[in-house]
Amino acid sequence: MYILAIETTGAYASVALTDGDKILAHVEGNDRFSHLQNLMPQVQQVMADAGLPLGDVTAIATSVGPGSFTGIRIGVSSSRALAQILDILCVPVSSLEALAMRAADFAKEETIVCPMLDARRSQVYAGAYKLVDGFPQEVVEAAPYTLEEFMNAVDQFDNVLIMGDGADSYGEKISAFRDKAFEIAPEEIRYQHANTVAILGANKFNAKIGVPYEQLQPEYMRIPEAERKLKEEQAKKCQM
Amino acid sequence: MREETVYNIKNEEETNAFGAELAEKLKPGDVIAMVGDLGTGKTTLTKAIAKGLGIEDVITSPTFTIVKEYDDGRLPLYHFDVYRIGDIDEMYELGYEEYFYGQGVSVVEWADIIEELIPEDAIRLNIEYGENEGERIYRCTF
Repeated sequence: MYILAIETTGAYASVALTDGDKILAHVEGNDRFSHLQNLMPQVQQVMADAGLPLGDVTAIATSVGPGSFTGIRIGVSSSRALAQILDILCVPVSSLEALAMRAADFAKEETIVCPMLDARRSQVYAGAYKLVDGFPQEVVEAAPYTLEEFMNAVDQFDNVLIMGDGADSYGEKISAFRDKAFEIAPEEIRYQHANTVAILGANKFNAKIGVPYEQLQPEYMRIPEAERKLKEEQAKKCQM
Repeated sequence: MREETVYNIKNEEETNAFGAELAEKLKPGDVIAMVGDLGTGKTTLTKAIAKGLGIEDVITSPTFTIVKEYDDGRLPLYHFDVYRIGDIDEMYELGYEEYFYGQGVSVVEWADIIEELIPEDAIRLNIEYGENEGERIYRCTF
């Protein structure tokens, strides 16, 4: 079994290949938000590094969001195209769950891993996870939150590890909303990467969570319009 | 709260001077949110800012394309006219995040239409007619 994984929801695109057990090859981009021009060459490079033809791939695991809106569209549409021509299944993977898995070697047993992606204007796409045998178990629902809402939601946990670009955008503001200590993941593991998309994708593929290409859906995790407007008005009132 | 500064602009030369001065201060990722009625000179001011950035391409209103990019200045300029945006999702579809939070400067005409997407630290620029012909009042929050 070979699972090709695609991660384009963050600033840097990455691609990885796994045999379900270990990572055979991986490549990550160096240019911010240049997924469209980099992705397919990255796929080619990963297959070349692994010494395998693209036709040997069993399924495509795709990080479907949340994250960069444009990045998600590129990742999902490219995965669909590949799956269609190769006539194989797609496996949707949550960018937050895959990101949480990057902390597997770093987080202590009691640590709650909190991937937090910047949704702009003091909002985040976030969730909280406990890692069990390296795989994430959701303890706070993955959803769009204001930074304050999310910090309140994880207040019940003593040890939290913050991951993702939300840590960069809101680093200082986090301490304002949290009395207890918290840790920010070191840069090497802070951002989305296809390696964990591959491992989680292989796991899901074995659990028969594969879909035909046309059913691979983006997960933008946007707040519904009406709710956004309400929050906007409330925020304005607070400022006055 | 950030403070508002009011500029009384007498003519187009003063618009050009204002644009040049503003352009000097701009840095990557800045967003200028412009609000003003038809004919108050949003595009004229954008031209002045573009000139200040060293852009020599002709700036034309991007009403039908929503955004136009100019890459020949000190910083890339992304000129938005969001007058025709019907649903906020259209902004996501054209990739506004990569523009607003990218390496260039975004100037947004009719910014009030997409208020919910304007970054909290955006430069606010409200344009009103002045008392006399050709005069304008710029209310700015930097």
